[in-house]
Amino acid sequence: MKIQIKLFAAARELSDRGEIEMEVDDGIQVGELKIKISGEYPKLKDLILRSAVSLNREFATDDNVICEHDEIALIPPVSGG
Amino acid sequence: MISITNESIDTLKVLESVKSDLAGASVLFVGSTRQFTGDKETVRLEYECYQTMAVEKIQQLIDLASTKWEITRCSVVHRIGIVGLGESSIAVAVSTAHRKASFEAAAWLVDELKIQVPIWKKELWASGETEWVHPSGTVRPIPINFDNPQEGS
Repeated sequence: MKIQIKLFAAARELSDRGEIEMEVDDGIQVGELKIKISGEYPKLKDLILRSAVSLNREFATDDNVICEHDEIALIPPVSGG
Repeated sequence: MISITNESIDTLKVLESVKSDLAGASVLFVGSTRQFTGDKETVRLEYECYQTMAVEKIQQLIDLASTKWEITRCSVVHRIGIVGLGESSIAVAVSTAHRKASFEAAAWLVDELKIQVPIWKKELWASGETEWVHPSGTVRPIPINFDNPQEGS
């Protein structure tokens, strides 16, 4: 299946885009997705180690399974306020 | 009231928004761009957010705060885009019947917002360098536990 991942802040600047599209296996888990992104976008690797992933605007754990129409985002450590 | 805005924040308006005859206390917290961090000088900050998730997360924090304190009204306004020195980036206002709860709830909301809400700031240093602020220990990759609000806080 094809999925889109939103990128913000340093992740957006390092990859020079606000969203990436990837072809992934059905049933892929969040932890596996992080490894896959790191492989395809090596510049993001260090930041991904410190980042969370959100699914449908909720923080996900590494064993959460991704579905085709999920809203997915990479969430680097936040610094609001 | 929850708002994420490109405009400068009218902090008095945020305070006014929580006024109520039922409240005997109102607390307003305002965060603003500081010139020095140690010996490093900031020229300005630039904020970015994941708007829809940020608004939902702020609402969840207010809902959770409302289970911990008897909040009469609460407003959170965060500015995004460029925020110059001395300008306000965030205003949190809470009103309650008595002052202790207002102080505690406002402090808790600001603390939690800084680790749970997808908003990021970039420093422009006087040296000309820029730097996204991605502090370690933020972004808690678990959903908020409404049954046990103390957990992980």
